[in-house]
Amino acid sequence: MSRALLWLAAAIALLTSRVASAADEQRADCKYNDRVNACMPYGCVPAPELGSDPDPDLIRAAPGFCGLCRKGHDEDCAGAHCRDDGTCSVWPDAPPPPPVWPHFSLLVGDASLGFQKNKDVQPIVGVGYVFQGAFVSVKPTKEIGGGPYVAENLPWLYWNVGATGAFAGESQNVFLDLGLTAYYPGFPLAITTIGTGVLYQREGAAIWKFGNTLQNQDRLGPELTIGFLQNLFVRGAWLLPLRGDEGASQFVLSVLYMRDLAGDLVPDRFQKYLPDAFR
Amino acid sequence: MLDSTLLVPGTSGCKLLANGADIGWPTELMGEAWLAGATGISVEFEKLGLSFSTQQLTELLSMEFAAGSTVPTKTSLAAGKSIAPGDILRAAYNQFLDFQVFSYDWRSDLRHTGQLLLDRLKNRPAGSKWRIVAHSQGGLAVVVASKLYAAEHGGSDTAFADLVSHVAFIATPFHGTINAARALLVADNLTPPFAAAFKKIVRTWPAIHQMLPVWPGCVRTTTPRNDTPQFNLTYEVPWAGLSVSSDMLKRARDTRAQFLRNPFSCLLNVKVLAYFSEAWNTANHLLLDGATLKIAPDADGERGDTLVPAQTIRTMSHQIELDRFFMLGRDHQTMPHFMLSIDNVVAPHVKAFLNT
Repeated sequence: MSRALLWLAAAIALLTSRVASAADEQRADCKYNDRVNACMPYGCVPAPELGSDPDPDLIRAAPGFCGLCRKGHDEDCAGAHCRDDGTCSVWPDAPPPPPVWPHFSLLVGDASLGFQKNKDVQPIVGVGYVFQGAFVSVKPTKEIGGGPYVAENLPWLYWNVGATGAFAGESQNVFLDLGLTAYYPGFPLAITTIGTGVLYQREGAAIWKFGNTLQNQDRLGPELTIGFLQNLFVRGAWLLPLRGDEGASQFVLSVLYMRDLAGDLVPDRFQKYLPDAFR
Repeated sequence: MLDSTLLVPGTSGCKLLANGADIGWPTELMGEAWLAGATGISVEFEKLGLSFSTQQLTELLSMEFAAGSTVPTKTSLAAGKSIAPGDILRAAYNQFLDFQVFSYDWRSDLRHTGQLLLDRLKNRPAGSKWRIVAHSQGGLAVVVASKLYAAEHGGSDTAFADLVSHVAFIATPFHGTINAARALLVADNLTPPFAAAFKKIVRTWPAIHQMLPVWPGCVRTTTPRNDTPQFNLTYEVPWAGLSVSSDMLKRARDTRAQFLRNPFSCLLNVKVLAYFSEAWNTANHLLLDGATLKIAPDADGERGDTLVPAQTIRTMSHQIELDRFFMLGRDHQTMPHFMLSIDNVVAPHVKAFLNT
């Protein structure tokens, strides 16, 4: 008998404690649709004075009461899911974003024109690759006060390297360039980069041969490159002869463009009018 | 990248095909529209079987929906034409060309787009989960898909994690954008000579309405009125007299309430990171002058990416969302909204994140 009484007392105590706990939660004030849910694992429901169906987009951190969250009202859980049992999902801490090494690379088409004194303008169409890499990595940091992750001191100066080649025809060309690039998408006219460096050109019928001055010409000189929206780069270079060019310098004007840029700019029905080299 | 990577582009991120023929949106069509508007010269548009008149352009690009339906009854009002999504615009995504692509009609109802995306996600590569990069409106489609899938699984907020392991949101307007309202109001962000036509056209596109801004203060009154806090740009009040469809606005409110208001709530156990820029001046409100809705001066905006205002999105977001935001561009320029996916910091970071 005494054991039965003890069980009864324990059960009553347990029940009353749950009722008291729920009542405490009901009495607790909270801010409805606040940044955080102070009532976890319960929700924060709007106070009656906000009306029967307040628009959460128009009210934030409004008077509320802790209680069972309302199905379909995840704002009761500060953006977490309100489950069928009226409790809110618990989200784990988000891992910090990985560090980032700012860089950019692109397969390009290269349409160049070579201007040399007493010679016809020489068109050179090839394909290649351009790369820009920052000198430093950037580590995202958490904003003070529980804000988002931010990246401070983003680099604006990059090193760049590129190579393009044109291997059709009797005279083949390869261009190699190395330089520095300022990345600043706020430049006017959709300019995103301005770069300078040196451009090396080997032209000839046997460009893979080293030391053959009869079949190849080597040139080297300064270049200036302007990039537009990281898809189109216009490059001018003044190339001085290194070997086999009888002392003549050459100005090379190049347009390097993202591999499929023509597909974007020219509708499918007009693609047939493009020169093969540009497709 | 592995086969399981998927790119969901943003508004205007895919070409539009009329009966399978590329109509040249946006570059060539805008150019032709400008040329025709400025000079009266119509170039080559006849190849689609249309002359470049305002009327026919409007018919070609306008949609039709039965009230309340998310599936279009017509994707074009031009006789005998239907419009479908084509290839992505590669210039805007040139760092993700090795990803699979979800092309969609970015004019259509986001809920329909979300369902189509979910259907695609259910066919995931064997033994792997999707790793998604979603730009702009594409991110909203991912959010809708996550909630539709949760609803299919008894409201489970972890169900989506069975399909998807990572989502990188790039410049997703979780709480709308003034640019959508601007398109409905003046359409000058499309092409000025055809602004009147485009204003009619975009008013048939549900997605534009579903991206209307919802934050308090997105409409500022020049004269005090009692109901200022009672509405945002998805309500009829600011659009009074402007022939904006009540059905479209209701779609916006319903989509907001059902899917977009708490965008991460069904992404539990999915690795999520949302990239935003605060490098550019960005509009954050319209003006209501008496009963007249107006564009606010550019200088009255805030920092953002030209479409998503950064401070506003911070203010509107809960802690579980802020903890997964990555803001860039406070002290250095980034690419603007439409090109942010190929930014020198964003693109490599997204790839690194998808490999965590």
